[in-house]
Amino acid sequence: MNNLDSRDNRKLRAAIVVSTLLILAVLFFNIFQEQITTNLGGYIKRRIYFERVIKKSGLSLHKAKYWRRLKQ
Amino acid sequence: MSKKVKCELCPTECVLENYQVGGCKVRINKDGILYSLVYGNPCAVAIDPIEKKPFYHVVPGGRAFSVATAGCVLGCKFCQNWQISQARPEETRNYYLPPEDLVRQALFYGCETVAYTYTEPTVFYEYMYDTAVLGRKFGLLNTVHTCGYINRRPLVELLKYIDAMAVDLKAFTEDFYARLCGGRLKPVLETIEVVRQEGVWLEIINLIIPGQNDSPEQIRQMCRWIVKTVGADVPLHFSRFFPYYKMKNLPPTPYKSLWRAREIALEEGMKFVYIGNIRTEAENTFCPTCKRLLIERRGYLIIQNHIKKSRCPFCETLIPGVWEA
Repeated sequence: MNNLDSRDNRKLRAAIVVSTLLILAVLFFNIFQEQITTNLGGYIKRRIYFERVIKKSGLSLHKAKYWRRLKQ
Repeated sequence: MSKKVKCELCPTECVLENYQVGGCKVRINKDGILYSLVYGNPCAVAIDPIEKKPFYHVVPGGRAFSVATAGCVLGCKFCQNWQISQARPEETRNYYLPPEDLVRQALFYGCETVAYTYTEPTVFYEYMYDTAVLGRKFGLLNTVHTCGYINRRPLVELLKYIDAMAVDLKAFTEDFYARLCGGRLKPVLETIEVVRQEGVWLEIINLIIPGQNDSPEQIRQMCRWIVKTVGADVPLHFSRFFPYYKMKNLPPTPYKSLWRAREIALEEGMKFVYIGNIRTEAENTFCPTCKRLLIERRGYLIIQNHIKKSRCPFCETLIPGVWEA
């Protein structure tokens, strides 16, 4: 009987942890949805375009002049 | 560490995320480094008469080894070369022509000049710069036909190796540049001033579009500015518009508008005013002092050229220009 209780407790605790993580993930996604989809989605689209189209078109990459890296 | 970069070549100053391509369509940010996609990859290569650029005071009848890559810093709705200027480099058919090969070919075909033209040379700045440095070593003249939309620092650096520059002054209002070009007038005016200050031969082109930039007041204002800022001896070309790209609804520029513009420029004291994209006697060069015919042109063909040692042979007036290679 004791054995069964401790097994149920473990399962319950695991379920609580998983559901908490799930809720947090949903909340996080809802809050930052716009940034995630635009930033990551945009990056993936651009990267795919570069790999599939630009890279295969035979154009070479030559380091440009007159630009600077931004901190933010 | 952020991988965002800011391009500082033209006044648009695009801020680019990783793998983003600039508004010019030819500069890409890859992992925090900005690259040109068109170095040594022109999409247009031809030998043209220098008059086609149009340069009327630079080695008349000379052969210009002309190159362009895809892309442009502006997006003019009336672009006459939109098939390549508004295309991405991966959409055009490109040649492999590094600077050394370009200069070698220009010399082989007996060209006096290399012309960076057709699209906007600012977008292939690095390619143009390296070619210009090399070309000068081998005695070639470097000529650029540009919209003038470039920042001061890269312009001044480039001008050290450029012999002549034809700048498109598309209109004389900020509204026109914003509405039809996606740019600003001020940087173009600054470019014209800098070119003159740096002692590089300058010619100005104004494409007259019916109902958009053809008002006599605007043309007069523009001519006054030219005379006051860069001088009356800068050649001014009024060019005829043909309905292309996104402005197919307009008619070609009426003959009358071009002549009226020329008259205004002459009234304002400009000494060399030409009409382009149409065959008229306003293609010829006349001495501003004795009014005698100096260069007779028919289209891109030189019929006669009387200029001797940069002077009018009849009255000895100095005719400004780059007359010999």
